[in-house]
Amino acid sequence: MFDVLGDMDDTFIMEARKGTVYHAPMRNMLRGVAAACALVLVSVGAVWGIRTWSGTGSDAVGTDTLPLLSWKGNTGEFVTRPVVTYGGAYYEILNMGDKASPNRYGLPDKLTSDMVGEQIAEVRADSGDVFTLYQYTAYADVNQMAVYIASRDGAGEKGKKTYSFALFCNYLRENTALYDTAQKMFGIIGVYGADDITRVEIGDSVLDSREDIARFYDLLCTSDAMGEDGYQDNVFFKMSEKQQQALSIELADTAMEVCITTKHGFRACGLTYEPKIQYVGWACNHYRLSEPLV
Amino acid sequence: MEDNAIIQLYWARDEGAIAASEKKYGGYCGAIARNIVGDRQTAEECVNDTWLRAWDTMPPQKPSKLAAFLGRITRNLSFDRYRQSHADRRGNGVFGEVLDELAECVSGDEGPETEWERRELAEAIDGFLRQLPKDRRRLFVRRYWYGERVSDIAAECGMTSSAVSTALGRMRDSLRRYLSERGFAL
Repeated sequence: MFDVLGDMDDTFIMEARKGTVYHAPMRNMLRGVAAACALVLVSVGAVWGIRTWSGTGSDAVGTDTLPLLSWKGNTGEFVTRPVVTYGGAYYEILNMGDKASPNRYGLPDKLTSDMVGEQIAEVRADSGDVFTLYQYTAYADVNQMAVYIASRDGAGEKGKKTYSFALFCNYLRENTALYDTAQKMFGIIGVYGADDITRVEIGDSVLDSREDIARFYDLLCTSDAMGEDGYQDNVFFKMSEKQQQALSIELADTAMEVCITTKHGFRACGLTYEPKIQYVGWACNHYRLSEPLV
Repeated sequence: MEDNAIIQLYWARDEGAIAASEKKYGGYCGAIARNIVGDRQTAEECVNDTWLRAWDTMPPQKPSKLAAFLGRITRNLSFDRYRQSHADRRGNGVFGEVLDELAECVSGDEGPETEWERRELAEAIDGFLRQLPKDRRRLFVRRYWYGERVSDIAAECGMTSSAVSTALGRMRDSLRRYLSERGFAL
């Protein structure tokens, strides 16, 4: 078997070469990722909250002493979420007390012992808390890396374990020129073809026919992918600061949230469609489409 | 030196090709050899043989990815050496663990009998790897192509050793099922 494995595709060999691993996150990078997490995990309305963080005082992400994801929730209060790293990616620990939060992703709002699968890792949040990650049994046989279960020892009453969902936010990344293809992002949520998607919501529009879903999938998979640097260069090239601000506001005002429901029932709502420029944002990746999504 | 320039040296029968290969890929090939054969001296011999084998095969070959090309030669030479010195025993040392793990993916010790069967199996394995998420695929390749220790992979990927072992175990199970479903009864 080892002998036959020697014949594997050169691409895989090069991809796995040493020296290409991501490094441990730096604090300023975590801030960026926290914003990316929020972009992935919260609604478009809540995203506007991110824009106000810088001037909101010590509760906002951006302070050196708060290494947690923080965002302005529906209540208007700033809430914090632990962010942990596992397998080269960031995961946000969901607040199970807020039922709307897991339900939004097609997940149950209560975790029972039969849902907690095999232990896969112990991870430490920047806050110092140690979490144990487990498989989510419903997805244990699904080739995905979007959903796991996390527990923090002693967090519950009488030192009992409490369990929460841990959702993929983004890859660890220091270089903003890097990006992941749409195929790779689809793979994270267990989608390897249009048939793995059952429904797509783009703003108020719903795509549920096989034909429309296949078109959506193909448009993303054949798009020009780029990272933050590429996006900035392409969209804001040679614009004055004032023009950039005006365009940013217009893009934000017209942006549409995209939610993808997979055949496994997971609902990924981290995508943003910018119809004015025909771009889709997904984590820190941007995809320039060849034609409008809707 | 760029890979194309090194390849041109080989094609021009310029012995500088070997020095350039050693300089650029000596460490890379040396690590592969050490993972497999274990001791430094044998590993160095495998690496030196790699340059000679490359010299013999370029021309006519013109690899598109020189690192993979040289690494594959080192891997094959090192595995040959390992087999020679471990003909009568298995499961010896770190690399023995790698072989034992891979043996779980097949039902017997016999490999593919013909070149055609081998190619079919290699293509099926590529198909399996292609469907894996990149992070998982890298774990698999580092363990079973490069022969790296679990602890080294864990340290570089920011994971615990148990998490790496668990992930590898799951991938081996998946590979076994994948091959079985495609009629590979090795």
